[in-house]
Amino acid sequence: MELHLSNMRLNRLFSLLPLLTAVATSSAQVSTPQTDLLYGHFETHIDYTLSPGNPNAGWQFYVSYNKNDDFNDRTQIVRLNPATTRIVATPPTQGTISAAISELGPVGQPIWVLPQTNVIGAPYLGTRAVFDAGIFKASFMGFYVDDPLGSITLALHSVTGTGPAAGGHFGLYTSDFAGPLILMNSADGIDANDQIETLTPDAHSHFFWSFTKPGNYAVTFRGHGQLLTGLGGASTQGFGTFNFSVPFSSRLQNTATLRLGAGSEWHVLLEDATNAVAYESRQGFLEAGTASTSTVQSTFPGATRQMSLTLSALGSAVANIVGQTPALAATGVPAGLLQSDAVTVRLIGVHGPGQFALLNGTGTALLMNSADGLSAADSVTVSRSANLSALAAFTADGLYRVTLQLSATTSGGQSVTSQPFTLSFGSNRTAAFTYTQWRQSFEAAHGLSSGALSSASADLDQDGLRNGHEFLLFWHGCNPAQADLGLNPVPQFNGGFLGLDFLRDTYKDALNEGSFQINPMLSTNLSTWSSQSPRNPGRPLETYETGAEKGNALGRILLRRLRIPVTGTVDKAFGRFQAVMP
Amino acid sequence: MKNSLRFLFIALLSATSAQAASTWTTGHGDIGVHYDAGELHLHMHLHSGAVVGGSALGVDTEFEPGDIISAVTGVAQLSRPSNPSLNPTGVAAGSPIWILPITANPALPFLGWGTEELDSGDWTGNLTFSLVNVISPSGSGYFSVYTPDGFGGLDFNMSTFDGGITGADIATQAAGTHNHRFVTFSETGLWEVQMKVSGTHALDGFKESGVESFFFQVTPEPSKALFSGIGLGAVLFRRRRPAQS
Repeated sequence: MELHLSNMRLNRLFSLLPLLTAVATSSAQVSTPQTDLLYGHFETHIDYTLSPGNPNAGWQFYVSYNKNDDFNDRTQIVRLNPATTRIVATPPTQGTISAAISELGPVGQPIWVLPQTNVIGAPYLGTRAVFDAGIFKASFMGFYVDDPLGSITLALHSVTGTGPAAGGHFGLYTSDFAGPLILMNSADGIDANDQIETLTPDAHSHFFWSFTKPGNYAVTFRGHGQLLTGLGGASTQGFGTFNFSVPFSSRLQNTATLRLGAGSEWHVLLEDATNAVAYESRQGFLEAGTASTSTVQSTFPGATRQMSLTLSALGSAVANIVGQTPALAATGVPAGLLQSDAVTVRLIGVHGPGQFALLNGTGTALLMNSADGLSAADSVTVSRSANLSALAAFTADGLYRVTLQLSATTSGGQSVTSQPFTLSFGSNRTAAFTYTQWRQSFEAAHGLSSGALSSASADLDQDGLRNGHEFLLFWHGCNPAQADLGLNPVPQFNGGFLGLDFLRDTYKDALNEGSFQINPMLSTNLSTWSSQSPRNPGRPLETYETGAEKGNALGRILLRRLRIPVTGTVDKAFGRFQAVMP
Repeated sequence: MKNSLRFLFIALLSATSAQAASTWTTGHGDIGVHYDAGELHLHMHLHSGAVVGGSALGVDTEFEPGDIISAVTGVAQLSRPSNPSLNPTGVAAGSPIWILPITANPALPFLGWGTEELDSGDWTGNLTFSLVNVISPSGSGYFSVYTPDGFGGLDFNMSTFDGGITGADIATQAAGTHNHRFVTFSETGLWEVQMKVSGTHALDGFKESGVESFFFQVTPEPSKALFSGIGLGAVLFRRRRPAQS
C-alpha cells in the first residue's frame, strides 16, 4: 500500500501545545472588526479549558474558521468575536415551509435555512467543540459517566431580537436519511429538549439553521458538562450568543412613509410600518403597482400606476433600520430645531420613461408634477405637527429616479438645504426588475430605439462601464445612456483597512451564480488585484467582502465593503468591479 | 458477467498492490481531488484520527482509491422509510437499505467530498464528480447519492435506479470546498463504485481525471469493536420531544 502524506499536516500531539498556551493567555474574548458573513465555511465554536476553582470561567464562544481542511488541527483555527460577527441568510437560503418541516412554522410561509451542506452563496455553518479528552464525563441520555474522552452539551438558552419579536422562530436540525430531525426549535418554546446532546473533543458537525421571519436573531447557547470525578465532578456551564440576520425585502409595495430627517445629518427613510422596517433612501425600492384611479387620471392625465405615500417629519418608531443609525432614524426632524418644525421638500429631478406627479391624498390636486417642468412650485412642506398624505403617480411603466431636496429655516433664522436624495420607483415594476425591464425603461427615457441597450456587454454611452455593469450598479445612479464613470465607487483607506464600499443588489446578483454577477476588486498598483466572490470567499481577517451598514438590520440591497488589512499607509488605491453578464 | 468482473477486480488488486486493501471503519475522510502536472486525480483523503486497518491515523493521509475499503456496517442499515422522495434509492419502502450519513456517526466512516487541495481561484465553475459505473454484489443492486435541501426535499445527485447511469449522475462543488452527501446501498457485499472528476482550469482548460474505483463493504451486523465507546470528534443527538399539540 502506498501512503501519501499531504502537506499542511501537523502531528496532533504537537498541535495541542500552542492551543493550551494561547487560550491560557487570552481568556478574554478576541477583538475582531464588525464582519457580516454571507457565505463560506464557518463554525459556532466552543472552547473549554480547565479552570481550577472556577469551572464556569473555562467556556469561550466564537465564530471560527479553519485555515486548512484538517479539523483535528487546532493550530489553524481563526476565532472571531461573536458580538461583532453577523451571519446573514442570503437569497439562496430562502424557501417555503413544507409539511416535512411544519414543526418550524405554518406550511406555505417563507423560511430561511442555512444549509447543512456546502451551497454556493450561503453560509456553511457548523458547530465545533475544542477541548481536551480527560476533562469531562461523557453525557448521553441525560446520564454522566467518567470516560476517557468525555463530552459537552450545547443547549438552546434563548432567542431574542427583532425577528423573534415579530413572531420569527429559530430552528436547528439535521437530516435522518429521509427527513429533518429537529434538534432545536423555538416555535414550541425552549426547554431541555432543545439541545445537541453530545459533543466530544474536537467534534465538528453541520446542521440546518432556520429562521421564519426577516430581522435579527440573537441566539444564545448554553454549553454545559460535568467534570470528571477526579477533577471534582462539578457541573459547569457557559453562555455564548451568536448573531444572525435575515434581510428584509427592500420592497415598499404600494404604500410607504417617507420619514424626513434633519439635524446632525439630513436623511430620508422609506418606512414599511407593516413589516416594522425603514430603509435609507438608496436601499429601498418604491413599487407603484396599483392601477391609477379615475380621479388620479383626471387630475394627472395619462397616469397609469400609483402608490400611497405619507410624508412625515417625525422619526421612525420601527425596530428595524436599514442603512441609517437607529438613533438618528428615531429622531426625524428634532423638535425646536427648525422654524415651525417644518421641512420643505422640493422636486428637483425626474428620470424615467414617463412623467411623475405627487398628488394629495385624495388624488384631487397636484402637489408636484414633472409634466409641466420643474420649479419651486413643485414643493410641499411637512411639519412635525401634521403628516402629509399623498399619492405618487406615473404615466408609463418602468423605472423612475425621483430626486428631492429638503430645505428649512433654523429656529435661529438661517436657511439650510440638504444634499439631493434620489428615490427609486417602479411603475408596475418590482425591486426584482429584469435586465430587459431595465433597458426598456432607459431606452424609453432617452428616446433610444427599442433594443439599443439589449446587449449587456456593450457600452452604449462609451463611458467604460458596460451596460450590464451599469445595470448591476443601478443603486449608484448609473445610467447606460449617459457617461457617468464618476459614479463608480472609489476606495477609502482608514482604520488600518483599505475598503471599497458599494451597494450590492441581491435581486440582480442573488449570489448563486445566476446570469448577472458582480464582485469588487482592489489594487494599489493596477497590476495585482485582490478580489473575492461566493466561489472564492476568502477569509474575514484577510481580503474579504463584509458589510458596511449603518443600520441595525439588513435588506436585499446591501451596503458592502471589500476590505483589505493594510500596514502603514497607502499612497494610492484603485477599485473596480468584475461583472459577469450573459 | 458479474463473476468475471469480480474476478477481474481481485486480479487487479493483487497485481497492483503487494498488500490487500485496508478497511476504513471510522473517522472522517473524503473522496478527494488533487491537481498535479496538469492532470486531475481522485484519491481517498483520510483525516487524522480515522481508523484504517484497526489503527488510528496520526496524520492526514492520502490513499489510492483502490487501497481503501469503506466499512458500511449494520449501523448504517435501516428499513427504508415510506417517504416517496427516497424512491431513487431503488429500495422498496420497508426493505433494508444502508446509508452513510452526513453527520458523523462514530460507528461508521464519515465520508465527504473534498476539493480543498484545489485553489478556488484556479478553477472556473464547479468540479464535477461523475458516476461511471457501479458493480453491486449481486449485479442487480442500486447505489445512490443525495443531498437534503433543508425544506423537506431530497436532491438526488446520483442514482443507478433512476434512469440508470447517465450524464446526470453527478455531484458538483466549487474548488476549495468540502461537502457531505448521503450515500446509499441496497444490499450487503462488496461494492465497486467507479467515478471520475472533471473541471475547467482557468489557464489549462478542461481537465478530466481517469476513472477510479471506490470500494464499500456492506455488512448486516455491526462490528462489535466499534461499540467500546463514543469516538473522538463525535456529535450525537436525540430527536426532540414532539411538539405539544
